[in-house]
Amino acid sequence: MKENTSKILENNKKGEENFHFHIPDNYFDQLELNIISSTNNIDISKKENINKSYYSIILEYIFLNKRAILYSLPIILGFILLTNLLLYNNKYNVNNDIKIENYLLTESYNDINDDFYYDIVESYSVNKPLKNDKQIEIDNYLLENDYMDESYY
Amino acid sequence: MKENKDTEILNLLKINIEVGFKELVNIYKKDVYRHIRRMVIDHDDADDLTQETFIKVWLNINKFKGESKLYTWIYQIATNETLNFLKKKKKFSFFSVNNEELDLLNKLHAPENFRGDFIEKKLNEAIIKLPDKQRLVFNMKYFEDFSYEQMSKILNTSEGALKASYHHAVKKIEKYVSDN
Repeated sequence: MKENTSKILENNKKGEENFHFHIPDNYFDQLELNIISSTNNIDISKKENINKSYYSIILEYIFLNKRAILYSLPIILGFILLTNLLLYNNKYNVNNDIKIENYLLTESYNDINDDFYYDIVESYSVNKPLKNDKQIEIDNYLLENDYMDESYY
Repeated sequence: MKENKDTEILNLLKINIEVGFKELVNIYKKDVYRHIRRMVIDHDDADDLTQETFIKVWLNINKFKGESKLYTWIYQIATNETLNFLKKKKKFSFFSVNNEELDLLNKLHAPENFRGDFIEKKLNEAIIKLPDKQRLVFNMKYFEDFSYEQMSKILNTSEGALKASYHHAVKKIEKYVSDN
C-alpha cells in the first residue's frame, strides 16, 4: 500500500485527468447559463448592489468570530439582567402603591381624622414591608372597635 | 495555467464588460468548480459556491485594478468562499468535532459522488482528514499543479509555510494509506 501511495504521489495526472468526482451531464453549460442569468439581474453601476448593509456585515463578523461572541455575551447578559431588575423593582413599587390604595378604599375612613389617616399610609410606605393578611385583619378589628388610640402607636 | 488568457479577458472587459465577463466564466468555470468540489466533495455545495464566486467576481469586476493576475484574484475569491462555507458548517456541528469530517467522508463514499478506484478513494479519504487549509494547499499543489509562488499570492501565505504544510500533508497521507 505504501508503494502504491508513493507511486500515486509522484506520478499524478493533473486537472481533469485526476478529477474523480461525478459531474452531471451538461453541468458546465447549465452553470454558465445560471451565472449569466444571475449577474444579468445585478446592475453593477448601482452602488447599493455592491455594498452590503451594515447590519449584515456586523452579523457576519460576529458569526464568524468566536471571540466577538464571547466578549459580547457578558455585556448582553448584563444588559438583560439590569433591565429585568429595573422592571421588577418598578413592578414591586407599583404593586405596593396599588395595595395601599386598595386597602384604604376597602375600609371606611371618611370619618377618620387626618393624623390617623397619614399614620396608616406611613406604615404602608414602599420602603417598609407590607403587613400580611393577618395583621391587616387585626388592624381592621381594632379600627372597628375603636381601639386605635395614641398609645397603640 | 490561464495566464495567457488573462490579457485577452481584461481587454474584452474594457471594451464590453458583459462580453468580457462571459468569456471569463467560460474559461474559468471548470477550474473553479473543481477547485471547490475537491474541498466540499458534494456537487450541490460546489455548485452553489461556484455560482457565488462568479457573482462576487461580477460585483467587484470594476474594482479589479490589475495589480495581481486575474486568475489569482478569482481563485482568492473561490478559496475564501469555500473556507467560509466549511467554517460555518463546523460552527453548526455542536455534538462532535469530527462531524464535518464524517459528513465529507460519507459524501465521498456515496456512489453518485466519486468514481475513482480503491486507492484513489483511500487517497481522498486521507486528504479529507487533513485540516482545511492544509487540505487546500495539498489539493492546489498536487491536483491543480500550482507553483508555491502562485499559491503564496492566492493564499496570502509565505512560500516556506506552504512548503512545510505540503510536506506535513504528504506525510500524514502516506501514514493513513499505509495504516488503512
